[in-house]
Amino acid sequence: MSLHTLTIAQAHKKLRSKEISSAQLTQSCIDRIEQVDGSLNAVVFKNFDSALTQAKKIDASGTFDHALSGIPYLTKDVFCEAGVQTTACSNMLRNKNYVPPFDSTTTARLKNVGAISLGKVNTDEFTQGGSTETSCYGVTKNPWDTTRVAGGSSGGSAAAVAADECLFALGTDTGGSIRQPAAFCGCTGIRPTYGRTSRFGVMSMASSLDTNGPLCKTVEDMAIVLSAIAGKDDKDATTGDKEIPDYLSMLSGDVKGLKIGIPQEYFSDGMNEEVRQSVMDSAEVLKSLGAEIVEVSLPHTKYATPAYYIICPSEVSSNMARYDGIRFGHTLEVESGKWKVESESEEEMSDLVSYYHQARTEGFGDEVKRRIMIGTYALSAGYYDAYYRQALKVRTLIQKDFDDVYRTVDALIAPVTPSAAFTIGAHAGDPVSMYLEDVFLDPQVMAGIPALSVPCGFTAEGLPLGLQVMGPQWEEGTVLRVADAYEKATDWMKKKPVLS
Amino acid sequence: MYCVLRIAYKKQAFLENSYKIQDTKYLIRVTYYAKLPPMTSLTSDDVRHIAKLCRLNIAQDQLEVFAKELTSILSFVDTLKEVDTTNVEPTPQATGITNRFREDVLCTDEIDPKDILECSGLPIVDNQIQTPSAHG
Repeated sequence: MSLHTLTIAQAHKKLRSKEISSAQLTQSCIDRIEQVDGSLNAVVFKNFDSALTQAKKIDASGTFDHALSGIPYLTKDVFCEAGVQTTACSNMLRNKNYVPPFDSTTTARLKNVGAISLGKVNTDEFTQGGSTETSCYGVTKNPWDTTRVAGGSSGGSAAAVAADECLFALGTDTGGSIRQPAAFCGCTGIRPTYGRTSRFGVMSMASSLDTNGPLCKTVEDMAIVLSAIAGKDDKDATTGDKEIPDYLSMLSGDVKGLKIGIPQEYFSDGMNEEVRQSVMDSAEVLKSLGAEIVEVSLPHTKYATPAYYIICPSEVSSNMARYDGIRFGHTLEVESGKWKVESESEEEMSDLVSYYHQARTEGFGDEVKRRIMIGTYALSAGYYDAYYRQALKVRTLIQKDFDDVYRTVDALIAPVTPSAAFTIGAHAGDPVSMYLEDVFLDPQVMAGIPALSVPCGFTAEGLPLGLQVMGPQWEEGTVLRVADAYEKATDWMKKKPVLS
Repeated sequence: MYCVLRIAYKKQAFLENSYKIQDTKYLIRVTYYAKLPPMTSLTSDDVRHIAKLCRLNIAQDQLEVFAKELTSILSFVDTLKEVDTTNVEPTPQATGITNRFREDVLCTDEIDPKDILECSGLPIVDNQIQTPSAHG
């Protein structure tokens, strides 16, 4: 039996009944990674010995009280784990193999309930990108078609889950980075409300937008993982102290009485017909299950991506300042007590400032440099009001759009992406065309609301498509309930990619 | 007391901004109009200057490439200018949680400060990281 193909819920039952051991389950995932990852490039750091040791310990302790005890998972390469190499897939941290001495709150919570960390998966450099093409480890390929991207930035997480390399994976979503790869690879992924999960120990991209959450094989599994990682954390002052409902008990498979909106701005004349049809068909499924479907309007939708590409790089330019080549990561060589600093500038700079220039220039890739420069420009004297402050005001209007519609509907559905997974290199040299891949993903980010992707069909070429379900802030339970009912009524999840 | 100071220019070309300054007695709202930059087109010299602010070196043959790319990004975000944000307050963070406090205690039970210091690849001297000189 292929244990790696189990869902968390299925594996938990078998672990509790002693039908299988955690060590067998972990070994099955390790074997699967060794078998298929050569063609995907999802896993960038293998922590297999430690994983097997942990699994055997859990087997010996004998109890599997928590649904995640003994369950192997992979982590996006931006979650710090004490003693485990974590590089953000950037030469800035890879060059000296940064090993954090502490755990992120999210991985610590998983460790506390006995989940088994198998290692690190690929991401765009410092999560900046939508295809994993900016990773210093190279691109992750889509399990459904290896000439295409797995999406990003959590492309490694999505490909690993879709290819059954693990039972679930952690990702981060700043501008769609969980939902888009989940849709491209045909798995589920949820971006929780901003502040529902702790950002402590997760390398920052844009602090007012960053969230983290699970990518899984089913909606039920997402409810299990989210229950374990959500909640207030004294180490992240932006986490909310709202009560965490029992998400699993909310998955009744029933949407009777729920009012679900379809925002008209997500559908235009020129849009991909397969994408449009998949969402409309999904609406029909939900309607047949008893939900009321209504058309709604979110008038400022088209401004979300431009606002995102001001706010995000502005915060990137600040967050990336900590990578100075001194405290961690890439450093310059010391030769006979002196640093090898090669100043390219004609201007007078101290050795230290020249050092910063050189270390950062060598450590960062082009997309990170672009975002740092755009952000620095947008925040500089004379431009702050026109760019950053204006974007923050537009964010207010986008949030108000959602507040207004949530007075009349319980949840919203829309496409996740304008098309299925694109081919590797399709957006090379054209950053704006890459940014436009985010158009359906940025409004939720601006409003800080929860949103997930659940598989809702395949293109004629056999590539998966995702349905986006959104809800009001802190209402992950409603979002999961709608997606779970949809998933149970369809069988898209049963189809698996064929990998050699 | 509520006082509005307004320096008005031609409305189309300016963005309205207002700041509230409040003490125990007065609430003063200062409204001013920031001039919108014209359609932005960055040159190689602009990129060189921005890169310097970012502590980055951009090679000569890359300056024009970045100038073109950054200009296209700025043109894209320029659509924000068409949104009327008069009297709209900015949202710095979506959930609006503010002033969350905790005790400021050293968590040495979770981490040894020495382990953090050892993350640096540079020489450690007397519990400090030795760096190039900031003065020469």
